Amino acid sequence: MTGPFDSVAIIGAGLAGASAAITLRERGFSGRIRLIGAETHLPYERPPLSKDFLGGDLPPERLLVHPEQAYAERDIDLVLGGAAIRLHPAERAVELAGGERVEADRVLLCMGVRPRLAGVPGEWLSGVHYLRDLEHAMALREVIRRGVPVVVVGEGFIGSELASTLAGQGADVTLLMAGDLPMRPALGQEAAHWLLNRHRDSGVRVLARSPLKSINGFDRVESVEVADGTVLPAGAVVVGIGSEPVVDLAAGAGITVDDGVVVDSSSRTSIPEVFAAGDLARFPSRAFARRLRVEHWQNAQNQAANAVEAMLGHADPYDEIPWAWTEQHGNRWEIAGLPMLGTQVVRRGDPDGPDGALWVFSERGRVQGAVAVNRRRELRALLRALAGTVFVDEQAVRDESIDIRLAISSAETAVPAGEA
Amino acid sequence: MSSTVPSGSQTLLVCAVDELPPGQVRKVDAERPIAVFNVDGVFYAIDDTCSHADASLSEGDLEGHLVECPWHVSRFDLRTGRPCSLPASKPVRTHAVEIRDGNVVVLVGTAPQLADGGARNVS
Repeated sequence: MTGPFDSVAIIGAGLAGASAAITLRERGFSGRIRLIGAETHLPYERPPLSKDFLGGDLPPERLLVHPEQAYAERDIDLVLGGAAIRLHPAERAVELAGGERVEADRVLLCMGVRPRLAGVPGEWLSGVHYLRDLEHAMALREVIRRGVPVVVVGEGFIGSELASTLAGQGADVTLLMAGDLPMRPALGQEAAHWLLNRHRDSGVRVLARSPLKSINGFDRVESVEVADGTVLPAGAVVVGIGSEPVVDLAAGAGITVDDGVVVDSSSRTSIPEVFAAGDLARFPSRAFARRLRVEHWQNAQNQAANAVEAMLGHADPYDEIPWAWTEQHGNRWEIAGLPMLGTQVVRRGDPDGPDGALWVFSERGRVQGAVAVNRRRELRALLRALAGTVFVDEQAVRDESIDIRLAISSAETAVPAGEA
Repeated sequence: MSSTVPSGSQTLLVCAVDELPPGQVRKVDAERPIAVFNVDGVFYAIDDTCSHADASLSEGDLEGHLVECPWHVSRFDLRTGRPCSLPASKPVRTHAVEIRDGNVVVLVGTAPQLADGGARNVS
């Protein structure tokens, strides 16, 4: 046994939980590993739920993070369809729904987030959907088949991806935005405006500054009313207005929570035997000098792997640069770092051109993040560079004949603008 | 930028040496496609399909001896085929490369000869 403990319970059987369980074994832990999930499914990938899976006919098995035998071969106990309802850290135990208690010298919390509810009259009507789980996506596939008009509420990742996928399936789709632009915080003004036009070109009816007021119908959805009184017919409503970290279990055990479960750079919570990783964990980012909670695929996978390495006593502090992607209307977007922290933006290339575009966001010369549409290689180069402190030469970013890696310079060699 | 070879052949002609300069990659269509890289004058051949999903590694980014998958950012070491980062956990196959008469040739399924898995152009 390599750990100073005999058993680990991983709560939450999504990508993070699966990544943690496999990594724990690969790093030589020989004690008992339980992977506990409220859903009955083996851990599966969520990104396709709003894209390929929803818009196609992929069987659910294609979404699995690992085949079932990968867990059996590694002697990982899958406890599926049974939510953990209480932590007993002092007794080194986890209590499951139904009253069963399982031993756990160490616990890793990976329950992620849950969709925020619409919070308007009519939200419980039949025909109101969310998109987080496989069942949600299966139900939405049925909606597409029925061909009813769909109102998508919310212009974040989920809402914008849904609008794209539904339009791609020929659905009659309306996107209700609370603000003026889709994915504005993630993409910045100019890129979000370009995306807005792609939605419109693809037949999505986009209504700006139109938060949902109510959902109307008798036993099922018939229409929605927007804040300004506009009524739109709807056969289905999909609500994508954000999510909330699942912190109940942690809070109930007295663990510090603050818009997520607060952890240190070893993913350790305020109770030393309990760790947290993935969408629900708020970790200290040295790169950005602030606490971050990241709700993306890469963070779920890598933070969970790092957390179990930390549990075993051999991990570098977790300080990964956020990276995310989305695919909408046939365009591949990638986002590195935290673009919203940069007030200066410079664009390279042309989003309508064959080589796509890259936007570099900086604050007082220091690069905070980047957004690319159909321009992956340069984005990846910036993603790697963001692990250090880098400054931008805006003129060089605009000049496509200059290698992007030469358009940024590291802290050691750069003279920040205004300090020369 | 791909060339086709007869199926069933275990020796794949990739291209002339000077058609694959340092820092470049070529995908060879075969039963299981192969990606051939030139890293500072040394040639390496690995299976082109990422061991995690179905991405083409020849479309990935090369940094030193590591190629990064264009989809999920797994990195593979060209010298060993081993993944250095998640989500891939299985290695990709590596294949011997030879320089014959100024051409880059891959011996499919044959382990690389050099300790570091590559082939140098010694002509």
